[in-house]
Amino acid sequence: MTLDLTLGSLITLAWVLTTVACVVMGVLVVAVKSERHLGQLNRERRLAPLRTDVLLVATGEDTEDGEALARLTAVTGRARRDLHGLVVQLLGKVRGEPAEQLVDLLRAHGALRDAARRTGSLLPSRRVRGLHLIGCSRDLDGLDAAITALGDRSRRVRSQAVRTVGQVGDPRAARPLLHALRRDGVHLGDAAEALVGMGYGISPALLWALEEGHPRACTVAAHLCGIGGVRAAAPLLVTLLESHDDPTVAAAAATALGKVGRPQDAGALSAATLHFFPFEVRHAAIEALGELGVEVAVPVLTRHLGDPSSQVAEAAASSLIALGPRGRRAVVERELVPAAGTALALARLKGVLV
Amino acid sequence: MVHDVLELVFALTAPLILTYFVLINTSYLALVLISAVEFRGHMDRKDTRRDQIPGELAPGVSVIVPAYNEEALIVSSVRALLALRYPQHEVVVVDDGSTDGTLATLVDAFDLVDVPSHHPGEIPVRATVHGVLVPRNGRTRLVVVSKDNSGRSETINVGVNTAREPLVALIDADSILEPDALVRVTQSFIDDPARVVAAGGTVRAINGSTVSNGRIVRLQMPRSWLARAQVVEYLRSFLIGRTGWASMGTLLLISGAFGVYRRDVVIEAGGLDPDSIGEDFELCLRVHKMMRDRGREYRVVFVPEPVCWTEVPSTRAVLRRQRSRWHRGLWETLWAYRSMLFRRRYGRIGWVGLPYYWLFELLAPLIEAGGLILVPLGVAFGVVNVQYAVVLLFVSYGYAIFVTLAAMCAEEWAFHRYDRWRDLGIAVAAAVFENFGYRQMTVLWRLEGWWASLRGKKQVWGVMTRAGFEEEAA
Repeated sequence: MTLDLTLGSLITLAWVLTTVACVVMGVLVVAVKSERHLGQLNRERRLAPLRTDVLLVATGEDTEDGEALARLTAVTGRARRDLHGLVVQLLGKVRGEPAEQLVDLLRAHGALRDAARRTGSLLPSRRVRGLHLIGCSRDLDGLDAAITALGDRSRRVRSQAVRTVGQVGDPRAARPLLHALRRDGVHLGDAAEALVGMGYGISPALLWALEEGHPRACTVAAHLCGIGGVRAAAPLLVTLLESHDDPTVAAAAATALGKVGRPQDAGALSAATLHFFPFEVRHAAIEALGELGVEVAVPVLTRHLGDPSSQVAEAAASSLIALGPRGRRAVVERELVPAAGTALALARLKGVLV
Repeated sequence: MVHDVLELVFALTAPLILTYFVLINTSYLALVLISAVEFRGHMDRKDTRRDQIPGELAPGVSVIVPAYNEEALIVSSVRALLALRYPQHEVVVVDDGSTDGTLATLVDAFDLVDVPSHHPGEIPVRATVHGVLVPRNGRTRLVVVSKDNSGRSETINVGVNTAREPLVALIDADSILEPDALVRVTQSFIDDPARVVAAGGTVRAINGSTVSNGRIVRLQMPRSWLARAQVVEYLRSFLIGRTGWASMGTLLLISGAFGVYRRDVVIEAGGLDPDSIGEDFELCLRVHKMMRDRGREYRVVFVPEPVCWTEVPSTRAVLRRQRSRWHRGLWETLWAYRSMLFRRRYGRIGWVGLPYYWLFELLAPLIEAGGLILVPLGVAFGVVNVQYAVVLLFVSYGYAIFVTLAAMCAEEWAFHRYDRWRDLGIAVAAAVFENFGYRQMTVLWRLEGWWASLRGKKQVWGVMTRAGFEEEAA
């Protein structure tokens, strides 16, 4: 009797628990969707009367007296918060005076002051939002806060800080940003984008990073020296190619040397094509020799037409074709070598050769 | 006599079966919770991050498309792949000796011409390669390779040999990638180029949706309950399961429908095994083994955002073949790599990932089938208390429904791909439906696959009959 009662209770308990848990979870799914759906509807409803004015300002069609801007400045309550969201979205799309007016609107509402204050918040999500607003509005006053945030304890905050300093675009942030690459949470791609956003003033910071030798910073710096044409970096790039342990860094240095290297750097690049170098370094060096454009590389590249790696062999053939008449002659003479034949066929289709 | 035997069997197995169901569902729930934490990062980024851009450091990607009798879809698929938003990618289509007009359609559509000679490549292949073709304009980054029919694995190996970029994206010919899928999936390779060797992306079911020129224009739940059950199943196992495993550093499977590998690593591993029926699982495990045997630091990551849409089987016959093949591949691969179990060298892979796959993936249908047979028998012979059977039913299926709803909740919170309320209602209903009928069928089919392998029966891939998705009228 006792056992039956226990089993009966167990069944009831299992039934109740399972049913309640499933119903609660089902309701939760609906609640999540409802919250998003209703939130969106309410936001749309509050923004509807403001959209025309926002568009007038964003397209530079506001009156000379700035009537639309004045109406937007007078917005209060929850609509103001929604308006800030809309303005931030538009800031990524407009430039010039309309963008400045939209930033003025945020400033007038105290949003930028709040953003700077939020960067000191205890909550990472608030710090991220503060930095995001500073970045979108390209607020120079917030740059120091963003630079400080590059060393934040939270990964998410550091990651946002990188994008913020890139959007603000002041080269003062270049060196702290390259230094921040030592820590996790700073995406290499974001860092490169941010540095590109800072313009040519970053060259000294790039050279510092190449000298300093940290692999992640070196990779980004080498790449940007190449695409930015920082010719002063060539000696440092040769050193990295010859002596850095990390193949990613050595490959980035080789690629950059192809763009900003000197004729005498062909020796270092040729040495890097030898078989004991990692694949990515050899491949990058062979492509770089073609880009560097010195005919002295022809014998080295010709040797690699029969490389066991199809990518290396094809890169050698393409580089030879890029080197001019002597290189092309070397490829034509070896047309029966698969990589040479493929490269010649592609070059003829592209109209590089006839 | 029968009564006594049954009583003994049941006394031995009943607690095990109950415990097993509690454990397996609890492990799924744990994966949902781990994934929810991962998705939180996604939520943070959503409000604050501009659209992800390929960026200055984006590595080149060769998208490898194995094609066998794909005449109807191949041109729109290739056009969509060529139009992916990425600065440096090529599309390599390998025609696996199609008997329809796949190759001729491609030649016509892209004005292909033969390249006279080609490098044999690093991965040895048995099949004869007949030719390599490229567009006459010399600009469109498309390469079409024609070869004898020799199966999907060899076809992909030929594609890897032909690829000219450092990363290779392995996809199916009928897969539809979201326009920024490559941008997102390569972010890990950009950030950690030395260590990240492979990345998987989420695969979702496209049935019922409307497609135009290789792009999804209207996303809807499928019309058949069979496909609807697979939608929630994919959500639970692809999006939630793999996100959870990847965050623990134990992602063992990157789907063949969409995975990105470093080309040099695939070559070093020897390419896909043409004799394996679970070639995607096998390759991923081989990469893990190779990297750990050589003592190299590496990462295999999963990115929940890049979505690959694929058509799931909509008939029982095709689904049966697929599940049978999947389970056979799972068994054969786990058996082949049994030496990795509980070895210190293989770390979490050997101590957590593989034992989990043995216990909760491979043995699951066997134990579930045991429960399905023993419990009704026990009830019929009066050995099993009916109340126990009811408890087991609630614990196994009720808990499973709860876990699926939790996975749906996490998806709705972070991604909410299905916009319509109707689709949400259908998905909730499918979460219940899959436990009554669908699940039991797949248990049977998975056991069939396992049994066929144990008997040494030759595996044939069979034909995936595609119902096709709705193409928007021009």
